[in-house]
Amino acid sequence: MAGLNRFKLAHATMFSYDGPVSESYNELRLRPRHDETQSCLSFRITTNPFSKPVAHLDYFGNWVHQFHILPEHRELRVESEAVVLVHPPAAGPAGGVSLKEIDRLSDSLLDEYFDWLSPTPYCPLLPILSELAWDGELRSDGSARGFAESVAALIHDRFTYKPGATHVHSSLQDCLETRSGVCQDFSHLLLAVLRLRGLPARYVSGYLVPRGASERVIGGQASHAWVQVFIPELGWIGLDPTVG
Amino acid sequence: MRGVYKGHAGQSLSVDVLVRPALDDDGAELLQETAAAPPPRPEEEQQQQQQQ
Repeated sequence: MAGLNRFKLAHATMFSYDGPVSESYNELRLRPRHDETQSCLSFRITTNPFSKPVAHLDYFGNWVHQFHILPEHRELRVESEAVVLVHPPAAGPAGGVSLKEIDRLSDSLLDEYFDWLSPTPYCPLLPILSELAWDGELRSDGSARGFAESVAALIHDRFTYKPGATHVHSSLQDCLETRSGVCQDFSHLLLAVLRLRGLPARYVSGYLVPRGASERVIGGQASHAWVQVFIPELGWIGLDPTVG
Repeated sequence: MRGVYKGHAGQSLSVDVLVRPALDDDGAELLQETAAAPPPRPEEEQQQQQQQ
């Protein structure tokens, strides 16, 4: 798809209730970010029943829309449409620092990237993850980037993509026990291993675009999730443990 | 998306995502679509969707 850098996104969410509900208060994060990698040229959101969403930027720079519907209703449909211009990736420097250098920089990385190194309920730094981290280190060339790519490849190889194996509230432990999951599970797993090893890492939500009309994309049926890891001297680098 | 509502009704969720190139370099619109609606999944009174 050389030359195609503008995309239309349509994301419809439909809730059907088996009885009347009311006083529905919601928030969503659907507006694409506007940064050095892409420009959000337009964005529109509508709800049925009608509401007037209000928007603000959260702590991490993501757009949040909040809306409420007070009258009784049995269905709620939320539709968003966006046009996004994707900028060609800049040719970044090759290489990057070694894992030993990451160890040496650990205090300064923690100072600057505390939010991206800390455990969260979805991303606990479980001791059992050190095994995956060690395997990733053995397979890497000793560089931080090589390590991150090795762990992403290990997750891709060792875990099975299986829609329905987990749900939105599944834990990392669930994924580890069943060795299966979907993109959000594998992303949380990779995040946890990277953070455990001292590399700042963050969760990315977006969309996959097939290269052709006949191509089926794993995870392409809904919004997709992957990971960005921060490598000193290189910046934030994307890794997708689901697609590989 | 996440939210809460008043009422003891269960819910089902479907998501439909469509991504397509908007225009090529010549300004012509191209259509290469992905669209799917996963089967409804029972949810609790809190509503939130999973990424796939």
